[in-house]
Amino acid sequence: MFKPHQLEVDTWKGDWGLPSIDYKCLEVLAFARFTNAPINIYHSNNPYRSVTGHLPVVSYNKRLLMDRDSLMDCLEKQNLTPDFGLTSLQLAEEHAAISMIDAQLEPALLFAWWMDESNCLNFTKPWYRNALKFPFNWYYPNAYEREAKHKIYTLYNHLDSDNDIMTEVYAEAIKCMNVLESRLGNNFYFFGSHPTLLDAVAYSYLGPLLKAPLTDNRLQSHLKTCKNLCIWIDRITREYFKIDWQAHKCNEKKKLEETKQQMNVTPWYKRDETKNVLIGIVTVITMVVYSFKIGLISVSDTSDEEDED
Amino acid sequence: MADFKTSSSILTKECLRTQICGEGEWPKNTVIYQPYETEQILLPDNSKCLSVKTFLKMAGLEFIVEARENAEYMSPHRGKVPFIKAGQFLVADFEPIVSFAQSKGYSLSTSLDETQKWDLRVYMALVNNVLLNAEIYVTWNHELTYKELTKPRYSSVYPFPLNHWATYNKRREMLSHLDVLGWKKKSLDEVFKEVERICESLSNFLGDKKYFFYEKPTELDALVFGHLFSIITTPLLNNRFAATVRAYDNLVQLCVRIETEFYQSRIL
Repeated sequence: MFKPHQLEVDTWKGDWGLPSIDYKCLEVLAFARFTNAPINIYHSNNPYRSVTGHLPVVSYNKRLLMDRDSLMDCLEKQNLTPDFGLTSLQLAEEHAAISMIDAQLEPALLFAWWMDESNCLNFTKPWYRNALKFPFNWYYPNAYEREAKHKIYTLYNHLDSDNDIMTEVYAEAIKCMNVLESRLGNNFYFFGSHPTLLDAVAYSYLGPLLKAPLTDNRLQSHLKTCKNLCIWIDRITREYFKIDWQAHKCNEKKKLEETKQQMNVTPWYKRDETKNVLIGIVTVITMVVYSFKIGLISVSDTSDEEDED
Repeated sequence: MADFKTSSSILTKECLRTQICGEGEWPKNTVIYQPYETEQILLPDNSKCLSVKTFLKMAGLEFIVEARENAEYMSPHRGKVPFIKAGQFLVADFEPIVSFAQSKGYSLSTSLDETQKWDLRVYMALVNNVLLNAEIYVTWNHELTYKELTKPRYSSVYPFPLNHWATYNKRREMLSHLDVLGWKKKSLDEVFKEVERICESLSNFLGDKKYFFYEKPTELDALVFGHLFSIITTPLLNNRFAATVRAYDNLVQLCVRIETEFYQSRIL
């Protein structure tokens, strides 16, 4: 029987309601979902077999598709593209907007994840260490950090300190978010009622920026004030990545219930306050007994009388 | 909430420079520094210098051009030319100069509405990210061009041991810039395909309007003019780059129009 070829995609697994946490993977997934392309997704979490050391590895008919353009070409040959129906002017606008997003949001995402020390140590590296298997988890997180830092330092080599770089990168990203917010307005998607490549690219950067639980989340708190973008991100997740969305909702519910149950059930002797008080009392008693023993405090009537004499 | 304050403080910090200089007149004796045009300057820098000069002319601001062989090292942001010295301030690169002029009350885009401002922003980003990188690619990564044109021109102003070292260093910097953006592993054909695509986008957007936003020139016109005019007029090893741009008639017309209106003396 003839079996049509499918896109085979190795990706990082998803988290926080996103189908994948890595922006490049997310872009491929969003693109495939928007076009309804037949796709096999493996959440392998293992970049070992990848040529570049990065996921996603996208292949079609045993041919590797290395970047966005070759993926688009491949899909276009099968008559699958989300950009049907756009006028040439809209295509030009899309082309321009994507170049802006790539140039301004990618450094911001890399900076927030890898250059910001507290985020990198407390969030990014632990996440990758957990996702990767044993020997690899010692290597890849550090390699990714090096690569991200190299990229940022090369792009911003005219600035001297990390602080200057951060100001510039974040300021550009915030401006970019603001124009995206006002361009989106109350539309369903950027070009009307159907998602396009522009939606896929913007979603792939903004999704992780909005959802990842970073410790230092300046960009996130700004993004949360952009109501249209937040609604739009949730809309895409809900409509095109139903399974991940539902799984996330279930998880959230479970967690909420668990915490509620814990709140109700905890008996008085298991609470932290009672423990602390008990420990305090025991300590005080021990100290008093000890000081009696070495003679720091002595209660004797006789000595008083002797003094008076 | 405290976090949100810090996020907005990033923007204020960025505006700080313009706040310090405050509103006021355009300083007299504004000087724009750039490398020597005939012997030294390279295609990417030439485009940027021309963009800045065109912008200042469009806004009707006075300036003097000064050529310095070490302009690159005088710049407040290492390696970024051109830069202007306006009063006490040094400002480098196209966009900061535009926002500096804006803080002084000289802007070409005040009359645009929201959607037009979005267009202005995204197309400027497109030119800066694609066309500039294509120019850098041709200048520094194309082996023949580097040997025949870039190396002699770039090293011409330095004395003996320095000329090799400076050129080598600059090339390494530029190549790693292209590398992290994924441009280094592209073939020349792919680069020209990109150039074709961007010209098509710009040409579609321009249509048969006089300027990109109808009657009045804006920053985008200055930027596009700077790049396209340099590409058309700079002699390279072959004229493929220029021919790619020349294929788009309305873009060439735009260049001619701006050229005759703002630079009477030159010939396209």
